[in-house]
Amino acid sequence: MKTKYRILITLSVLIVITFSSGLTYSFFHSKTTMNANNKNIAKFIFNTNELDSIDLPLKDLKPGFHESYPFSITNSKESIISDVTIDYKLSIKTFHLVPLVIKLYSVTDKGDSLLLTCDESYTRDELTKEIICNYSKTMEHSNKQVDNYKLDVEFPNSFNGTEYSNLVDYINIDITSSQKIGG
Amino acid sequence: MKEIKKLVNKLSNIQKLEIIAVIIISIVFINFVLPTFARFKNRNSIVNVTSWDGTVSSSYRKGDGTKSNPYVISNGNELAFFEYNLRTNDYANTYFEISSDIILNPGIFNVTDAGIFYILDSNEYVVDLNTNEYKTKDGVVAGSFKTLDSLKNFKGTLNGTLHTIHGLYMNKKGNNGLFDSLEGEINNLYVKNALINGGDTSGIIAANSNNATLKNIMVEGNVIGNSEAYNKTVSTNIQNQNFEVTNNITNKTINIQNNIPTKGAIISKTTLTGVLEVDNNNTENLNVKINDNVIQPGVFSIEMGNYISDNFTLTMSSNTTSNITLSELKYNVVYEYSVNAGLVGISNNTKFINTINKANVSSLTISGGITGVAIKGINITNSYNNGNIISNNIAGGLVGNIENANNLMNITNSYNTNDINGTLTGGIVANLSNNTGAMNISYSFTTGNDGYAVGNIENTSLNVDNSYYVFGNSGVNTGEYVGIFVQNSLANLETNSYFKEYLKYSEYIKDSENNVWVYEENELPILFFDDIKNAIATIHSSLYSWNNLSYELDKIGFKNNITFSITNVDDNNPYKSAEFYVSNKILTKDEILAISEWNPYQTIQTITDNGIYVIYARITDQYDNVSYINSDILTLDNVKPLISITTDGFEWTNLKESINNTYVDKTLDLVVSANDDISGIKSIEYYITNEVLKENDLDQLPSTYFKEYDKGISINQLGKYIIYVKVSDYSGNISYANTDRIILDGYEITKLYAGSNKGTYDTTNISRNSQISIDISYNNESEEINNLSHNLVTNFLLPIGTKITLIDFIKNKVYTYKISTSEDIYGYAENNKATYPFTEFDEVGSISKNIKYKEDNYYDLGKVDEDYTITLDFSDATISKNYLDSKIYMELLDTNSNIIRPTLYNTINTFNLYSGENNPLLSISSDYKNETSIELNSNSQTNIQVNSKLVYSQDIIDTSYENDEMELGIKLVDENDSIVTSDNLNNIIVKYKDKEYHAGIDNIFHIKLDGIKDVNDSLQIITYENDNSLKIGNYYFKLFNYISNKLVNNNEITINAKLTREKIKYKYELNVNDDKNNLKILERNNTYKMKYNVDQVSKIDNPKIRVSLYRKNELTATNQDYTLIPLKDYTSDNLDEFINSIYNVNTNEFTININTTNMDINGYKLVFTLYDDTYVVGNVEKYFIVR
Repeated sequence: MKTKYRILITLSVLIVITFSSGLTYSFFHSKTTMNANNKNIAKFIFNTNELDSIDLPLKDLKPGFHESYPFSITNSKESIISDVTIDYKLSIKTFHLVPLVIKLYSVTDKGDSLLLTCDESYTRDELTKEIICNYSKTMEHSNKQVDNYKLDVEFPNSFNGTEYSNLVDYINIDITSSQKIGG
Repeated sequence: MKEIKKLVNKLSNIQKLEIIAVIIISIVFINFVLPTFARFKNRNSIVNVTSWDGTVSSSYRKGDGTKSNPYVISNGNELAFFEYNLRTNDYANTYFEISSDIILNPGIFNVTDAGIFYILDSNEYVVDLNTNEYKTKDGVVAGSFKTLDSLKNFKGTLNGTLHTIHGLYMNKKGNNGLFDSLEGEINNLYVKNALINGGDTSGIIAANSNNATLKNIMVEGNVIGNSEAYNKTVSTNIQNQNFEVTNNITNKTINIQNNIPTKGAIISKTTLTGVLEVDNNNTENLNVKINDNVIQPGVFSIEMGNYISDNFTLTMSSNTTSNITLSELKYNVVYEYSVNAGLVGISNNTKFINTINKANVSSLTISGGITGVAIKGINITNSYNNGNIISNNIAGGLVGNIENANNLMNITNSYNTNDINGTLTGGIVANLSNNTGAMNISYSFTTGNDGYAVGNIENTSLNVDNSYYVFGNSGVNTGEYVGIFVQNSLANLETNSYFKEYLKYSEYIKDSENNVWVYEENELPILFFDDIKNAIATIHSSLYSWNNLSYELDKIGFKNNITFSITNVDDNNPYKSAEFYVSNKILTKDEILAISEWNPYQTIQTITDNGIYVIYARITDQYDNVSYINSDILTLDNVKPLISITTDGFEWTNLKESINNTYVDKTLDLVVSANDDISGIKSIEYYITNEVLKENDLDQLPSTYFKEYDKGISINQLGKYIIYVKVSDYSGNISYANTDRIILDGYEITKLYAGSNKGTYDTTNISRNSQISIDISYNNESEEINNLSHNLVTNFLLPIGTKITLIDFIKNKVYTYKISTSEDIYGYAENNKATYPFTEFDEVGSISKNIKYKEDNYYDLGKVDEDYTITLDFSDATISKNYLDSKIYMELLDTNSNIIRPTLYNTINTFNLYSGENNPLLSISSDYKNETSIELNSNSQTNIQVNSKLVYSQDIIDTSYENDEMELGIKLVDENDSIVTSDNLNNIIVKYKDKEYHAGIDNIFHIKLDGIKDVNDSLQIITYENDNSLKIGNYYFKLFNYISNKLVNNNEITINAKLTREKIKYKYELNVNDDKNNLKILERNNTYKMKYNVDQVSKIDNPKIRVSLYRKNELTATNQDYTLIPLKDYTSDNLDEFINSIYNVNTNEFTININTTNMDINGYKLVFTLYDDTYVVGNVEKYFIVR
């Protein structure tokens, strides 16, 4: 626990949270405890084509850094449940200037399931120069549903040269959703 | 002689007594007949051995028949045993030796026209050949002859070792001689007084021989062939013949290949015998004839006439074809054929080398001196005949007949001197017939009256070279040959120079194969082992006798009177008169002939005066023939030799029992000289012992105790010695002399050294103020002696003020003595040495005062142990001159002030004491090269070889520094020669001999060395990384040596060092803190204000902080390289550019407005750098991204 707090000091994570309809999501703020099950806000999505994103600008990164960022997507807010089937897409975007290992997991009662590893094997966007890694899912209507995820970010210890100290990078998770035609 | 002595000394006393008894008895028995062994020639004497008793021994004397260990035959019994064994063993490849003269019959055979007589003990007996007895003239049997059968078929080697078989009596028909069918080798043998009678084929050595060798043989006596002719049959085998017989008459001629010598023989008849076989027994109408004699199948015998045929004719025919075989064919000759010779009757391919016949030979058919008949081949070299050779038919001086020889025949360097009688004679060879091998006669001659060298030559190719005859008209009677026999005169042949030049008879050299002839003037040369001129008288003296004239004389010594007599050799042939002349020297023949004062010999003569003598005798025989004989050189000397043993001031000349002790301190070399004017010194020997011996004891000493004296006797080992010298002269006189008891013993100085600490100094040259010491001891077995005086001795008078310290390690006490006067109260002037009695020394540390050294003999349980260190301390002495080659040592005196224990001379070394001071200087040096400087503030180890010593201007030391300590000092100074303080030396260690040294409070590393000894060692300067506050620059380690409070060396060794900026460990803090508003992710086309708080904490004198901008080279995590880009291109702010896109940060706060418009989407960093002036000390980097 103390280690995690130290990391917190050296590693400041800014999570920009924007809210959009239709999806609720949870996020961790760097100043809160790094508890993977700590969900704060669920995003309720009503409208489609809303873009939400989670920005994770990382600065003063050092080898050995390893954090998981849990978040969830739900179709309900308080007592309101979406009545349409929603397709949503998670897009992980990063400059990957730092040799981070970025993994997206689905978190269920049955355990964590790796969905994708986002690295430079993915093509950089020509314009933004970002590496974009996508994951899509459908969420049914009328029933309250919560999809839990976690983004695992690790800076391996093996990169122990002095050139790997105090680096800066960022990770952005875009969440786009749309009504599934045919409900 | 010495070998004999050694042999005798190994015997027990009883054995020695037995031998002495035998010797005495032998002297008595052989007083008149023992031949001298001084030379070869005296062999006419009958030696004193026991005659054979006719029995057979059961063994040989010794040996195993090998060449190195032959069977030894020493008497007639063993000779008979030899004969017995030869019946079943031909002893091929077996070796025999005759070790003694053998007398088979002791008397003398005398063959006359009136009969054969036997002279024994001055009695003449008639030989009865029918009974082999000898009888008085009245017919009474006086005795019988001992005879043995011929030694048959011997194939081994017999060496007579120049001994004589005397009285060989063989009387039988057929083959007769010592050997029969000899195939072996006989060497070095005399056979004398032989009577070989009645044989058909006989010779004294052998009846016949095949491929044998006879060498160095002389025979004498009579060989009388069978007087009655009788027929005997000799056969030649003919090869089997096979033929086919047809109805045609067939004639075949068959060669007989008869090799039987028949020249001179009377052939009664010849026959051809064999067996005729016909196949299938088909004898019908078979007709077989030999020489027209019809033969029938089965055994046949055909008369072939009374002549020798070379072949026969076989005539065959048959009505039916048959095959016939003639087998077992023999050509048989029945003839009268008697062959007798001096050495070998009939020889087949035999070699005669150095052989002499003096026997008279007679035969019905063929006689020869060396051999009667030679077949197949013959070689006669260096041989001669002196006997009468007679035959009814063929007689040859050397060889009777050579016939049917197909090998080489050679007669060289041989001659005949006697008359030859027969119908066909030749001095060298009587007859040569039908020899296909080449025949050579060279360097040979005959002086016999028959005239011819060769009688008859037929069907033989003879080559003659340098050969002569004396009498007659030609060398060859009948036959052709190549070369020529030259008539010569006897005078020429008896002239030595003529002989040597023309006939090349090589003069005798001992052990030479070819040089075997002995020359005497006006005589024909004889072989070296011949008896010249059968002597008829003998000179006897003591154990010796001589019966010949000789010029090569041995020396024989007498220490009592010389008594001599002249006796007959043969009482049956006594001399008419004998005269003697005693000479003082060896006379030549002319001088002998010129002697006018011959003294008639009547009775035993005695010479009583000491001197050298040769006794000459002139003997006249019954025929007035005069001959001369002489003794060896006889020396009468009854004076014992003189002896002198000398060494260093001593001389001993006689044998004494009252012995003094002579103490010596060093090797003693003694020289012995001896003198004997008459017979001369024969030997000088010595024996070293510690016992006192009398003359009788010395006589009894085994000879092995005495050593032969050569050049000197050296006593070089500690101990006690009495040297006995024994001198013998040639007359047997023996003198003894001995030394006193020489005692080589003494104190031993184990070390002389400068100072009082052993091992400090190498030299013993010392200056005033110094000390000198000796370690001296004595540890030895000894007797207890009391009332002794121990003295310290010097060879110079110790100067006043000298302090003597005596450490007695046995008593564990220390004594001192100070020289308090310069007067010579120590006996120096008188004795050339100064003596300081220990009893004057004061004991140190005793509770009571004035206790002196107390004398002690240091004796305990048979041993004396003394152990001292003596030091002379000159530090307070008044030394006004140099004392060179000085010595200190000890002496122990007895009650009578005799030195009974000196100091061993070879342990006394010298030292030199110099009157001047000689203060040393310190010296330090190193071969360190200073190729690189030691990097301070780094991990380093530098080895430096340092040589530190005290140096004296001359090789003279001042031992007053002996107990001081030399040290090394090391300091570190900067370029201004200011010493670096110890707080900056914490990272520097000096290591010497596994010990580490740190700088002291005086900022100097101090290292103690080993006393004042010279040091040549390595030390290490070890540095470690550190963050001391030394400034950058050059530094120097300075090494010097010193002796505390006494000497400091101003010379130093300099070791370069340095401190570079790279090695400065900067302690600093560079802080660059982001303002809280600083963003890390910048968007393009914006301007961002970035603010940083910048400061540094360090000890840098002139710190500078500068900033620069870098862009990531690649958009990838795998490449973290950045490139410097001009910050000014991305800001409108005024920047203070230091150099090349590096900008000064002049305040503690750095603010910059970054315009990202022209910045690529990439990663960037601002680098804030702390400089020590222009030297980069450290960086802080601030990263951001532009997207």
